[in-house]
Amino acid sequence: MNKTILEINNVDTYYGQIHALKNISFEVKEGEIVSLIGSNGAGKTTTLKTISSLLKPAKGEVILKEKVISRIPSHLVAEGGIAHVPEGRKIFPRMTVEENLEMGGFRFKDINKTKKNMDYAFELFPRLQERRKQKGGTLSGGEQQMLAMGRALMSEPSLLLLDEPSMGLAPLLVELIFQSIQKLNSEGITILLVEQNAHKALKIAHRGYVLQTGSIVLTGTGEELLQNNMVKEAYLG
Amino acid sequence: MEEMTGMIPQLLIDGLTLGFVYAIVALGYTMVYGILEFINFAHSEIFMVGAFAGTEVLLFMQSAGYLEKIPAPLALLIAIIIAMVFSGALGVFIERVAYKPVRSAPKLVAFISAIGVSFFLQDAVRLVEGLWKNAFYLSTPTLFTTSINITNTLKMPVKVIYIMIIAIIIMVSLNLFVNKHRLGKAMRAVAQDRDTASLMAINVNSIISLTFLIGAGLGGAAGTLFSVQYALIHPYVGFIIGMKAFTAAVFGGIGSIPGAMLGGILLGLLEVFGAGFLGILTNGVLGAEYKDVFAFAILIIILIFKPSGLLGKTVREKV
Repeated sequence: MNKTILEINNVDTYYGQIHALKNISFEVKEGEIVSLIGSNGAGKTTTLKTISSLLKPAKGEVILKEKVISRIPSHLVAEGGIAHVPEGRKIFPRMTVEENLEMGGFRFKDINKTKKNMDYAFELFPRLQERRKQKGGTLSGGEQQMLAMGRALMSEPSLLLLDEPSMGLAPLLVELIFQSIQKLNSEGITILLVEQNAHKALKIAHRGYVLQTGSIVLTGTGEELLQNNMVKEAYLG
Repeated sequence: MEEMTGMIPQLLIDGLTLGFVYAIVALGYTMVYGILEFINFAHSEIFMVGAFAGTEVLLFMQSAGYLEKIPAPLALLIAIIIAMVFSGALGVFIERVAYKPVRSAPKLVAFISAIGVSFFLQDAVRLVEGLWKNAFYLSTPTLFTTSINITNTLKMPVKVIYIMIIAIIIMVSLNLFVNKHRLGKAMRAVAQDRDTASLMAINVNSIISLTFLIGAGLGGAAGTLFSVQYALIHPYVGFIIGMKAFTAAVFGGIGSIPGAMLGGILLGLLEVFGAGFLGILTNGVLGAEYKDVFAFAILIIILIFKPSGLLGKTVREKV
């Protein structure tokens, strides 16, 4: 059995006044793709933000490789090896593609390492190389998603958090993004994926969790969840 | 008309000198605004403290007899560097004690805090100088006395040449830093999206401190240049310069570093040309004392047509 890389233990998080996460517990093991599915407002984004410490849990803890990370600032969480691709990509709009990638590799001061990782990102998404001098804000939605993922990879993460990577993309691009997620996983990166596109997310996942109004209501392997009647009815339509 | 064209070269020199000082002060406003979306109204007093620090260094060198022994440009450089370090540290300190604790509160709170810091610094300098020198006006030691004759009628004081050279070096290095250095880029990243920058392992608080260090350091350098150019400073000297530099920053596009430089230089030119030409153009009805009215009227007209400023980005609605 693989080692647990991330552990969420009895976490409660408030988003302003809203009690967004209620006593959530789950884990991600090394080398897995774990999908977190649920409808709008179920708490998926809040979960990722709690992991990367953009939100502080009111109770419970987040453990990364046996270290509690739920009360340290988010830049230290990032240094610990978590890369978070936020909802809506959050590209730096007035910085070029190259500069955006450089920021992703901010934790490395070594220019050669940054160069090597940038070449890797360009290899994964050749489109970014064509656009390297272009400002992030001028890219299309698909290109921005590639940039956001490339930027996250620049930090050589051991765990990649992806928040709705397929949102608003054309089917062909959705396909490309999901293929690259699988490719990254096959190269050894553990992935926690949040998606509204439940079908695709469960299809590539080793395991999945279903979130409903801030609580985890169901868990199983990707295949089991795809066959589950409740999941079929609620999320696969 | 001939009278006016004859004045142009001289006005250009004066306008650029003043404009460079505005530009460097404006940078401090615009950098802090870019990163915190907050106007640091205490920046004018940081400029003033920098002017005092630089001038006191020059006075010390004068009384200790160094001023005659070392070349004047070197003395100026030493004064500027010490003033930059002093104001820079002051800026970082102010951010920690007066702004950081209220960062999550409405922007007005930080604004009030800044006004408080302004009054405090004015009175603190007045008190210290009063106790120390028994006067709070300082006359700056004369560093450069010669002028270069460019034509028979046009003289360029050596002082002005050094002020311009230093100002240009400062602006070019800042541009290089912000566009090429890893920390400069991180500064821009934090300005564009603080949360996302922190996801890139960027320590947002350190970057904010760095921004204050640089912005306030520039204020200190500008203060020293101002003191050398105009030869007299007092604890309230920051107010008018600060107001104008702030205006220059808005004029150029608040948050934009090239905008602050352009806005500062243009404002300096407008003001000096206004002072030179108003009397002639209006047949003596409006004199040079209306230079500010003239300069600000032009600014307002430009801002009506381009509210985001000359190089300002169009403000996107934040969701």
